[in-house]
Amino acid sequence: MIQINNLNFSYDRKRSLFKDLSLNLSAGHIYGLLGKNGAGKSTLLKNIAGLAFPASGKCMINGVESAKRSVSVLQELYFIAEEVHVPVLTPAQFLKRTAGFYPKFSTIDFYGYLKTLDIDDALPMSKMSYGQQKKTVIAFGLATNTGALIMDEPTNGLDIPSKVQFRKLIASVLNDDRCIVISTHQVRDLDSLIDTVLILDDHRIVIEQSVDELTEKLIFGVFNDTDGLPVLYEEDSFKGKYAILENTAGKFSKMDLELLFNAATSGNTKLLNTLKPSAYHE
Amino acid sequence: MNNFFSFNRFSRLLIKHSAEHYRTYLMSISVLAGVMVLGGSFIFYMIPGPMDAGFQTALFAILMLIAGSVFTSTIFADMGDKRKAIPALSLPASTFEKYLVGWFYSYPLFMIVYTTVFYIVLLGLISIKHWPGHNSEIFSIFQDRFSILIILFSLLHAISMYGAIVFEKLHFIKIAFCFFISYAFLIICNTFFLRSIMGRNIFPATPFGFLNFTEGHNFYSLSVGYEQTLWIFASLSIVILLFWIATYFRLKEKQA
Repeated sequence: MIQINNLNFSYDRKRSLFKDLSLNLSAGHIYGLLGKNGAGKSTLLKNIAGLAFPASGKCMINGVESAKRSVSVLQELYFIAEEVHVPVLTPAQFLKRTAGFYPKFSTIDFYGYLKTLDIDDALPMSKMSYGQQKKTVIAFGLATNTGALIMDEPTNGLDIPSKVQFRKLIASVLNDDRCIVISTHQVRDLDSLIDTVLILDDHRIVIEQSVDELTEKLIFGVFNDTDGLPVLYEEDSFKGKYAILENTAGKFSKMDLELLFNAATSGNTKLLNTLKPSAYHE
Repeated sequence: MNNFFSFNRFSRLLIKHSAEHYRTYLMSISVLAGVMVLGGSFIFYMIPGPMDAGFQTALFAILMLIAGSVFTSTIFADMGDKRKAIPALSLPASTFEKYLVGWFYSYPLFMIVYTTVFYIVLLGLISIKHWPGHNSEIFSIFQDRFSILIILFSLLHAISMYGAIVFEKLHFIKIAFCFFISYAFLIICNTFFLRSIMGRNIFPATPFGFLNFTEGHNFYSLSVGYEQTLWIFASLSIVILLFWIATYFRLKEKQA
């Protein structure tokens, strides 16, 4: 559904943000785009959505270049920015004025999502708290039923119960025709939600693996002693050593997204080499 | 599906834009009416006789050019704010439809609203202050001189609209600054050019304006004839069209 071919992007001539970045994102998946602050997550998402233009290379949605912002592409794309803006309208009025632009919009779903997220549809959006505004925009984005749903730091500004509701909603709207990309630097917010991990670091995607592939190749756990174990990365804690081991015995463990993120962004070549060849994009 | 223009989509976009911005526009109309009432009252109080149609025309024209430029310079203000630009740019409507909404509000609709408000205020002020033995006169917009006003208004509109999309903040100030700097530069270039083809000293000359010079004790002022005036109108119309087209492409290239 989303293809990125040899993307090069820079805000100025001296500093290049992406160098020949290529990526294929398919429908039926929830991708978690992780990266440190300033790694370029928002810029990558904007390039995908045609809101920022690459210096060279292409971002395509359903085979059409997104930078052209053609109506047929925009009807299949909803982008939720990190900082949302809402007009002086109630959610019901906003729905009346905006839903018609999206052919697959579901009014029933929209009101259902608003109810789940505890939003009053008669209250002007401009008078809502920032978290409520964001939840309203998320509800609208989910109800558009677009093929590509891109969310930039959607959990910023949400309280803990709302984050739980958000995770449940996202999991419930995924279907075979939909590709959801969520970026965050708060990796715990995406725990148990995403099925594919994308880690952006040092101008490139350093990990692009499904959760199943990762748990097949790696073991995550807390160990008293890691001597003699095939350790790829470890962190000391009061419980022992949080470690990522190479999964040579075919065992299953629950993925620790934060530990994986720390390992990948610390330049741990042992881990990245283990995940090769599909993981390492220059 | 037509990716360039659909009347249904355009209507929907116009309604959405109106619903989201009507409060701001109503406030702008109130401010415009307030300026007219206050300024008009002051002028009616200061001048020692009835206001003739020529003076009314001048006021109408000057205020229209200023108010039109100020309003047009804000028409794409949302695009300068990333929070607003993202939903605006990613809304499933074509760039041409988004452009046309801005153009419609700032050009034909502005002219209609401005003219209506001006006439209402003028009629109100005239009915308040009577001059015994004098029939009040009201200027008409259906006169030859208005073609010049329309050309001038269109030119300033096109420049302001272009600036509205190019600049991200302080639109009007930046547009006015660039306009006056460019205009001064144009006068300098034009004067040098005219000096070179005349082979003599001349007074600073604006493009398409008078060519003034002195010879001995005589002062000469040359202007273009009627036929050349039509050429000037045609040239300015092309410039206006180019600015409008350039604005469309700047909107197409806008990033958030």
